[in-house]
Parts: sequence; structure tokens; C-alpha cells
Amino acid sequence: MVSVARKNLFHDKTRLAMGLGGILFAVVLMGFAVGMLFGTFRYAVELVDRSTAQVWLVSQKTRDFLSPAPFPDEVAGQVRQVPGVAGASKLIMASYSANATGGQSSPVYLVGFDPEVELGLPWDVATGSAADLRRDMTVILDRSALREFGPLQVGDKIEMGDQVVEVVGFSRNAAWMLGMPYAFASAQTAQAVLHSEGQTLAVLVQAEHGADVAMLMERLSAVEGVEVLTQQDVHDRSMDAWLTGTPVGYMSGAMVLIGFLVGLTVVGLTLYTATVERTREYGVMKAIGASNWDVYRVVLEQAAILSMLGYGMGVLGALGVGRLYASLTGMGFAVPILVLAGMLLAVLTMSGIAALFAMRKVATIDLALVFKA
Amino acid sequence: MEDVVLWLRNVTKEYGTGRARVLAVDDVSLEVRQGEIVLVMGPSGSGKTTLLSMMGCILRPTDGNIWLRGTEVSALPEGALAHVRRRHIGFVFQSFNLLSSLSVWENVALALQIGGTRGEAGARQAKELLEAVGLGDRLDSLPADLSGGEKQRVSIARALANSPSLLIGDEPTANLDSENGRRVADMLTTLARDQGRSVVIATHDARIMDVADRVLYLVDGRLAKKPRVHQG
Repeated sequence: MVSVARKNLFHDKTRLAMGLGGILFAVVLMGFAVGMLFGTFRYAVELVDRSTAQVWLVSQKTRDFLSPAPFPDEVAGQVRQVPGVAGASKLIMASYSANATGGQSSPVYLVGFDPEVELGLPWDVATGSAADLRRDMTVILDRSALREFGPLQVGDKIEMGDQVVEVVGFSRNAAWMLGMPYAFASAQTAQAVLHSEGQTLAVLVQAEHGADVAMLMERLSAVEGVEVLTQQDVHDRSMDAWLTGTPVGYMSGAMVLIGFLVGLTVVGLTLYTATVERTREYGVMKAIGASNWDVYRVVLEQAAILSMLGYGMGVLGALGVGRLYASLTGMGFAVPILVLAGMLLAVLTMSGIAALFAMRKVATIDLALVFKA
Repeated sequence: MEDVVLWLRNVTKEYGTGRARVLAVDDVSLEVRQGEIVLVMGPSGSGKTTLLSMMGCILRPTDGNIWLRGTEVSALPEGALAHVRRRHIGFVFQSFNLLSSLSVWENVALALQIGGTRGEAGARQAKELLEAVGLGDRLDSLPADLSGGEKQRVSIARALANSPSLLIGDEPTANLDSENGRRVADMLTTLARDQGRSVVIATHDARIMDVADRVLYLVDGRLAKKPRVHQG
């Protein structure tokens, strides 16, 4: 089988490099933007996903999950009385500036919860355990904080506002948005640091083994002033809040759009100029009996080859750039398989649209040109 | 009439309208018989290429009718004309018109592929056709590496790919030296005499007049017929 598309494409290496460069740039930009977005979101909801609480109670005044409204922490006590509840924990969260004694200042994301309740927090603990947080004014700090704080040991103290807390352990890979390291503490410690005694942002509920969670949620809905949600609800609403309530989603969307448009323009120009330059040859093909579709197939095959090669190289490039970005900034980067499939679809769509202009040119070739000397 | 391959009756071709109207071919009628070699001669702008384009089913006439192997082709839609060209017509062009990125054998195999012969069978037939025109040792060369005469022989091999009954040649010897021009003319003669293919050639080249059964003169789109008997 003679592939005119492949032969033409690889015959003109400059044009091939141009076309591939365009798709490569588009895929790297789209992949990086989407990877950054998903990486950021993964960090944003990691606490929710890592938690083993089946039910979350939040204030009815909570409009979005970027700034949940506080409510009285006595609700946790009421919840513990509800049949089917094995444990209930307050959840206090806030970014807060911390100082290593004599060292640098750096923001941490303080998470306060009840260490008596099995919630799966903190996760990936390298040194110490949640039980160590039962002591007042203690924290388990993520190791990524040591980049700013310098070499801290268990037993060292750090300042958080006007309070001093003792580091009783270290976690690994527990960073919130923007690479901010987590500092896990008991709810009482977090309230003391944040001066938010008597208030909580959520109550996390662990159901009794074998309890019907739906029925439990119904019973919990009798608690006044709160909304009862599943873990999945909290995950979805958090993602939604970050996507639509912050510039992150729009910025990533803009980068994806720019990548798509740049790719579309470069591939379109590459295919179109390649077609214009070979107008006579396509005319000859039609003159000797090729149908319009035979020639369209050549253009489409060129677009497909460009797409697949450019996509493969672009994905590798995006992953490489993303890994570099994550290691330099400590921020999240993740490209799920579905996103890779979506990007492939975007690249194929881009090339398909780009090919339309070249196909239009092919359709209007004046066959009489084959007789011109 | 049974051996008439191509028949034009009162064929006219106009371009443009109103004051910009140009009558390129004016009321031409002619027949081409099986195995016949017909030369169309005339000055530049006389309508030779337009007439050849209509004979080759590349252009439709504005008026009149064209029959190819008994089928009227003058009013067929483009898709059907492409089928007619694929099956029944071979083209040999002045500037060869080989695809520059394809090797010699691939250029011929592409024509076979368009005609429906693919894969190994297509490659084998392409190589046989090229061997028949004396290019068996240049199969993998690119057109850019060939001489003018070699390119024209590839072009002839490609024209024969789908075993056409009609060969259309547009100045096939114009870009060749005497020796290669003679060789191409001899090949076309063999195709007509030995294989029974009809050959229509538009040319200015008086060197190949001796191969023609008939020479037609076209002046201002009109035919001035000067019959000439083939000598042998």
C-alpha cells in the first residue's frame, strides 16, 4: 500500500518539524495546565479523601467550601448521642503562619481534630502517631515544612501566633494547596492557636460498624443549624468551589484554550501550505482517477500522523515539565488517564478541524492545471 | 463504428460570460478508432489543451456530446468521470507530473492502487510495467534523480497501469531531446499497434508526425482536418 500522506509528510522534514512543534507545544501547554489544575485540586480535597468519616456536618450557612462558616462545637457532643454514631470529631482548619524558633517563618495548614476518633488522620506518618496529639499544644508536621524551617527534630518547638507548640511527629507528602505543609493537631490545640474556642468548621462522624449510613444521616438531619453530607458530597462541593470560585480553573481553562488555538493554527497552516504546495500533485491524482475522498484521506492521514506523533511527544513533554514544576515548587501535578484520553480527543479534533481547510482546497482544484507545463 | 473508442459530436467549450466569454473549442466533431494514433496540432491558444481535457474527461463540454467506448460521458457527474478516467484513460503529460515524494515504482503503484489493485499485486504489476519501459533498474529512485526521458517513461508506465483503452498525451516529447523523444514516440506507437490502444497526442513537435495515423489541426478552436496516411 502506497501511503502518499506518510511519504509527503516525511519527505518535507522542515514542515514535519513545524507541524509536530505546534502539536507538541499545544499538548505540553494543555497537559501542564490540566495537570496543574488536577494536582492542585487533588491537594485541595486530599484531606476529605483521606478521611474515613462517612458523614460530614457543616453549617447551613456554608455557601461554598472555600470558606466554610463556623458553628458551635457543642454540636459534636449532640451528634455523639445519636444512635449509630461510633465517634464524632470537630474539624478546625486554617492556614497559619508558623516560626521555627530562631528560624524562618512559613505558612502551614493547621488541621485540628479529635485524636480519640479513628478518622484516618494524619496520613503517611513517618514518626510519631495520632495518639501523640492527645497531649495539649502538640503537632505532627509534614516534612516538607523542613525546607523552610530547617532541621527540626521531634521535641523541638515552633511558634504559631502567640502560642508555642511541640513537634511530636512528622508526616510525609501531606501538603495542602500551593504546597503548604499540613500541621495536624488536636481540636483543642487548633482552637487555642486560632483563638476559636467553642467553634468548629465541621463535625466528622464515624458510623458504628454495620450501621445504615443513609438512616444515620436522616437521624443526624434533626440536628439544628447543620447540613448533613456524605464524604462524596464534600469532595464534589470542594472541587466545584475551587473550580468555579477561584481563578485556578479559569486560568487553566485559558491555558488549555490557548494551547488548543495555537495547535489548531500551526497544524492548520502546516496542512494547508503542504496541500497548496502539492496542489498539482493532488490534481494529478484526481486526473488519473482518484476521487475527492481518496485525496481527503491523504490530508486526514497526514493530520492523524501529525496528531499521534505530536501527542505522544507532547504527553512526555507535559509530564516532564509537570514533574519539574512539582519538584521545584512542591505543588501538585497530576494527569489522570481520563485527562490523557481527553487530550488525545482534543488533539484529534484540532487536527480534524485543521484538515478541513486543506480538504476544501483539494475539493476546488482545477484539474486542467495538470496540462500546464 | 464498432471500433470507435472516442467520439466527439459538435463539442464546444466556452469560458466566462458576456464580454469575458472565450470560445476555446468551437463545434468540433471527430472519432478516434481502436489502435489509432491521432495528433492534434495547432498554435498556442488554439484550444488543443481544452480539447484534450474534454477527451480525457477532465472538462465537460459546454455543448455537444462525447462518447467513450459507447458510453456518453459528457454529462456525467465528477464522481462518475473519475471512475471513467481511472478505468479507461491513461495520461502522459509534458511535465511528467510524477509525485516527487514517491519512488519510481510507488508512482506507478499509486495509479494501480487508485484503480483498485493494492498490496503485493500492485507492487508486482508496477515493477513489471517499469521493466517493460526499461526502468527495471531505477525502481527505488526518486523522480528528482531521473533524466527527462526516464521520467517520461515512468509517466507512460503509470498511464498504462490500469490498462486503458485511450491514452492522452499532452506534448509528451516537448521536454525531451531527440533520442528520448524518438524513444517515447516509438513506445506510443507500439502501444497502439501491438496492444490496440488509441492514442491522442497534442503536440508542436514535428519530429513525431511520422507516427500518426491522422493529424488534426486546430485553429481558433475549430478543426481543420488534414488526413494523413500512416506509412507503415
